[in-house]
Amino acid sequence: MFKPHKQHYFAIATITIFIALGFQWRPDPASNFSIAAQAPVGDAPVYHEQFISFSETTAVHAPTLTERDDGKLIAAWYAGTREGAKDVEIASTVIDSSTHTLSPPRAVATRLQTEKDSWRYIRKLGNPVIHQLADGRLMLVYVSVSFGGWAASNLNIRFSADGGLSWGTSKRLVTSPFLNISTLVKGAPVNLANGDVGIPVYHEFMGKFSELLILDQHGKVKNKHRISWGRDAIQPVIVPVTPTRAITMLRDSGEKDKRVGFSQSDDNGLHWSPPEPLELPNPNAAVAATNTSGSEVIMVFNNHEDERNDLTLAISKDQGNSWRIIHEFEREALQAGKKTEFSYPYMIRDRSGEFHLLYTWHKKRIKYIHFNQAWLEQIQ
Amino acid sequence: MSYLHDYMGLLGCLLFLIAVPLTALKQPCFKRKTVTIAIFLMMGLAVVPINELSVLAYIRAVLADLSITSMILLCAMIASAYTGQRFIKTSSRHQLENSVLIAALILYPLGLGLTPYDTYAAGYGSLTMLGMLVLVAGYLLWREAYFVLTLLLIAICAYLAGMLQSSNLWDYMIDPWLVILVITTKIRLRVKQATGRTTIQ
Repeated sequence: MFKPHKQHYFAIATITIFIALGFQWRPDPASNFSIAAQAPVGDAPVYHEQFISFSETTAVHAPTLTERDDGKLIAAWYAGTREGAKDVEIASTVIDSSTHTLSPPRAVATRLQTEKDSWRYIRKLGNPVIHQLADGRLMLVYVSVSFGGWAASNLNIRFSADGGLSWGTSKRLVTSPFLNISTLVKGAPVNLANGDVGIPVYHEFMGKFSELLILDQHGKVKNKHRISWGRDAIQPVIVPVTPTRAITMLRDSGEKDKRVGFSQSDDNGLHWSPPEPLELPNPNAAVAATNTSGSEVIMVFNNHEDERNDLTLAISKDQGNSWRIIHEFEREALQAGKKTEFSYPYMIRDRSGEFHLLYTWHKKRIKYIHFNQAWLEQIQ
Repeated sequence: MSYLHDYMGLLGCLLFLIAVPLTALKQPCFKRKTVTIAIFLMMGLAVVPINELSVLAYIRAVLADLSITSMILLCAMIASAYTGQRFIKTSSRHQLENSVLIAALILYPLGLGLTPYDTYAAGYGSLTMLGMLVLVAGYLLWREAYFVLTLLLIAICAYLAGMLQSSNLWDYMIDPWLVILVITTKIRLRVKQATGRTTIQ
């Protein structure tokens, strides 16, 4: 007669648990990128610029914005007495792009609130990214550090169902195998056709590399796809150009060449080509990009290998392979003893096809520029 | 569910806070009463508030959330200090140490950006990882390495139940502190062997 042995019990348990794991991991095909319908383009050129943060003594940096359901824009950036200070918080304002009026700024995330929500000590806050999900909710992803420098960063996420008036509890995103440190955000997220969202992230610990993080609508990390590896390419900015194809421009954090990096994916962002240098220079600084109409892509960057004393607009008509400079938003002559910096551009195209650009102005203010397709065509 | 994640995270830190000093200061003369008092002292220390945060919240900021494997081993260390008995056989311990080191070699260099292939991403769910785990489990079953197999199965069950904040299976199986513990243990054993204070078991 058959007598079960210890090994048989373990075999049954193992098979049962692996069937459950196989069910949990059943193939989930990568979703297409969600490409907004092309809105009709107005005839009259629109160009407007203004500051949206006002304190000259407060350090501000890393602006981000998104369009809400009501057509207004909500912008966020980090603000405090200096970068890395304990009083740094994520400030926010609502911009009515038709009248260019601003709501009074308010904090949407603070160090103490993040500490309380995440049940752990937080030393400082950093880069935020704000984004509207396909279901209309707003998502705020922002960097926090418990110990050490930016290389020890973690990501936090919180949602708002009322256009940014109130925000839910911050939740920690687990994105790295080594104590969950060294993940940061900078580029604009991209919506996927199945309701998921792709967040471009980068790491700055042992390696300096970029990834596309895939979250479901509840903020659960579903997957991530590596864009670059090694130590040279961070702060990816992803531009979907077709439902399955996307290109990304990268900040060059390497020592030589100092060019904007370029990579592309033809399979919904699952696999990316090895980053190649474009002809455009990059002083180890962030870039911003978005698409205009199908194959046109525009990019805002610092047109210098070492300095951030300009902010320049370039256009590509061949999905990022070649670029032509068409405008300078900023340029200041370098002066000894004076820090000149236009940096961390962040750009989106709204549902009506108009463009909104934010950037850090001398690390003292956040500047906003609003322009449309007609203005783009006029300056070319 | 989010509270469960935080409770589990803090539980790992509490186990660490209790187990590490008990094991480091382990003396044969420690009586059960002494160990009990030490455990309660550590539990008291864990909830002492500093700037409106408990000591545990500061420890969690440094440790991050421990894996299920680490938490089970910390429980075994505390139980061992309390009862004076060893709960893990030497052969099982060696199997576990080797498994952890192999897993660490596969996970960390590639997961931290050395190549285009990301082993950590496979932990969010991939057929390759599933296949590898089936092979590993089959090998452990064949070798009758039931302790390591049990730890693996418990980690997978905890992952399926979503007990930790992470949605990546690797974070349930391994963490850097576990690797440090294994490496430290191996080094200590080698030093003892070299100085002739112990024999190879």
